[in-house]
Amino acid sequence: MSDEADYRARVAALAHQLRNPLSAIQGALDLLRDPVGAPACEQQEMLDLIERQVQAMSQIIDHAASS
Amino acid sequence: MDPSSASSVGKPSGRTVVLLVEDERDLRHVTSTYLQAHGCRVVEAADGRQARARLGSAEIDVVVLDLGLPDEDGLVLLRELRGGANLPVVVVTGRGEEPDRVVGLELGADDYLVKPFSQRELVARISAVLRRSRRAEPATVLRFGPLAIDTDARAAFVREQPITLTRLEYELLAFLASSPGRSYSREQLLNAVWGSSSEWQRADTVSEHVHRLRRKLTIDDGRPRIATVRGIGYRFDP
Repeated sequence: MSDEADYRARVAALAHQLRNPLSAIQGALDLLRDPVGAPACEQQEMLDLIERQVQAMSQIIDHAASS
Repeated sequence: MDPSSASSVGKPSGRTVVLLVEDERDLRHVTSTYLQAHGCRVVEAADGRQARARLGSAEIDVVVLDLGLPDEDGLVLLRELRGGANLPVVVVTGRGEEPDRVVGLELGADDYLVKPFSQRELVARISAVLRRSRRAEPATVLRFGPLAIDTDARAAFVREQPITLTRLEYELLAFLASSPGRSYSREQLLNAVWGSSSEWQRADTVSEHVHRLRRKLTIDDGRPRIATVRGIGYRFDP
């Protein structure tokens, strides 16, 4: 694989890995902001979820940067 | 846009039942909570195996399917859904590249969302595919030359004469005939027709049922027929 192709493949893989935690964070924010959704969820639970997913993203980026 | 007017999912009677197939726990949880807050009942599945079990045990109106499942390619499950129950499907995936979108839509996904997505958009898309599927009620009788399959009565007829079929023979015929010209492996047919009990079945079971079906159908001019596809499995030729 050429350097260019290898780079593109690594970026695509990184983007793919980040999509799940980003979706969960987006979903938690949607719930917290939604007039119908907010009363249906525990605010603290959503904040914990966001923190967990931010940590997951940090680990993914750290791993990519060190490999 | 006012979210309260734009984002409730309803159906004429009762609550919409969504099968949510998503392996990532937190994402499944927020999506499920959001959909429930907006009037849906949500049945959750973390992988393809659970999804098949839930499909067999609950009356599902629409499927939200993550293609990146831990135990199999979600495209296989999507193909089965389109061939069998004909349920509306919204595909959700981290694979946003064009070939994946095209394959998903070609396999019959009614809509396609790429992660990350907003929950409001998901609700809007679920509402849209439900509206479309209600407008286009499927034909209850499939006709192929002398063969007629009544999917409401779950019965088959050759030249208007009823054929006696076991439940599994009927399911196999209806599944194959719902996608004429499409080849399925014996394993795919086991999963689609035998469903959650397939782990106790062998692929030979499919061959035996196909053999019996052919004998019962006995259509003189050869069409429609269940063709053997060498090295792959079987195909319904209309």
